[in-house]
Amino acid sequence: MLFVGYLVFWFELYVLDTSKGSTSIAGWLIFAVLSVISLFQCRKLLISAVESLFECSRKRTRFEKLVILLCSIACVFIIGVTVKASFLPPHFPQEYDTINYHITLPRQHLINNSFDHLSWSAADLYFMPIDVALSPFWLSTELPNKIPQIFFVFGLMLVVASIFNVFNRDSILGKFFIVFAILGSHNISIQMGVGMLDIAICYLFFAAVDSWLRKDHFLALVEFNFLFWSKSFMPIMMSLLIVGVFIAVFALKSFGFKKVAILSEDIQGKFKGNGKGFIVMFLAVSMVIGGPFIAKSIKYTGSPLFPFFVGDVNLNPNLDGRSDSMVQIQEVSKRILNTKDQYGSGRGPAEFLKHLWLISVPEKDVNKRCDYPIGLPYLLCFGPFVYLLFDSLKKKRIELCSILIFVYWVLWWMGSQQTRFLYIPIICMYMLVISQKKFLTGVFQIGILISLLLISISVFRAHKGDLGKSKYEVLRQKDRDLLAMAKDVDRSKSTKLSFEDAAFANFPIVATNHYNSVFVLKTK
Amino acid sequence: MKETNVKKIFNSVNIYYFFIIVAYVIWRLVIFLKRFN
Repeated sequence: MLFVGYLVFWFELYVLDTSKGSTSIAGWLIFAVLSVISLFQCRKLLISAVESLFECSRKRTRFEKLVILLCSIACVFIIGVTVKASFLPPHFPQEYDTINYHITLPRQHLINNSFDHLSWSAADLYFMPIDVALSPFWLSTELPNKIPQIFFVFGLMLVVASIFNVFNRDSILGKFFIVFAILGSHNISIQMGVGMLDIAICYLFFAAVDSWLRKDHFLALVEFNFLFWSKSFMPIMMSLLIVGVFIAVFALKSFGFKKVAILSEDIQGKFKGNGKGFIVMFLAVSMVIGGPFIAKSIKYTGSPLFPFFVGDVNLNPNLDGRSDSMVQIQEVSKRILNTKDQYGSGRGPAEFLKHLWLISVPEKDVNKRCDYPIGLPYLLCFGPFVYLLFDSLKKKRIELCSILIFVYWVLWWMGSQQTRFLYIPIICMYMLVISQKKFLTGVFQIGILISLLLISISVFRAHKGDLGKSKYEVLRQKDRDLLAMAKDVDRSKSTKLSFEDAAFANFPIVATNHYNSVFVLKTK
Repeated sequence: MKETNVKKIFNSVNIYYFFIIVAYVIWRLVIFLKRFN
């Protein structure tokens, strides 16, 4: 979907007339054809997977069958509600980023038929390959939609079950419960059907691992590349993660640790590949996926990774660091970087211990301290994970999955402490714990069932206000005003707006509220 | 036989799960009830 959308975006931007801010249905058509072809190619594999799933389900005890049935009913309910929600245009307060820049900025570029910097927008200097890749899907309907989101939800469940299958072919119960645990996590389920990109980013991580394990190295490379350049902080985060894991493995080896394992199984060439070739290919694909955003960031800020290193690094010799526009960009980048401290409650040892519980539970209706609470599956898996971590240390065995979780968590603790940035380590934790049969007890299964029932209520509560409403009825008042303005606006010049979240403007705009928004730059 | 079953049900991991589930449900209940105060 991303690969198709990315190519279609650039084609439509420079070849077709997109001045009304809409795209053709080419993206959807190509995606549908490719999906049908790939499903047809995998038909035997899919049929045998479904057959083995049913066959193994029959061997379960009556209790397990009942729990699986009830959990499945809850999952169908959650998915049903969120699929319905994804057909509505973005309008929730938590969809602000989507209405602000995920959709607005690619749309403004399409209206202008140009990728040049939108002088009023600081967010236009962010890395947005996923945003532009999804815009041909978002903008092909009368009003922007959130339909692509649901494909990433299904994709995430499939790739995680697929990775699980590589290491634990026999654990059918585990495959069921890894999916139940993901859907039973509040911070994940509440994002389904909502216009946010964290599930897509998480999907890319596991899809890249899955493709690599299946020896489809090029696909893994493309998926990892989209992940690596998905947000401005991601190149830093991923580089630190890779370096951190390597340092941890090297340190453990120097302490006499020998066996390297992943998900309880020793690695026997599963991750082997041509390292140098991978790096060369990674750089080549990066030129296509990250290149346009790096170039734009350097051209207008001097830094290759806006808002990072602005003022410290200047790779553009034509840029005057003392000019008014550069001084403003430096101020804005500082304000953007300071937003990371808005979450969490400090970084001391006591806060660290407290957050292990607090990130899982709501404090006041929803957990504002660390964004949405993760929920019960994390708490259930956390204890066994700590046990496994100490057990592997005692046995002098390197558990790659544990190290990845640990390093990721440390980096998250030092960065913006929002639970939506914890999807990857939490799903790794679920996989690690659920892959061990001894932890899949009846009480655990009941815990996951309780969690799914609570999530069903939460998801229903989140979307019940939209039930029976049309696409226009759910819109915010200012979005309705934008649609009304579109009828007789002068499209030959930019219309001044006092707000920047203008995804529904299908005409050129300039936001002027630089005094109260970190995303808006002062224009002449 | 009975002793083995009891051991199976009340092994340490199940006790951990049990307390976590109870603590979580009580916490959610308290937060829910606070909304009516």
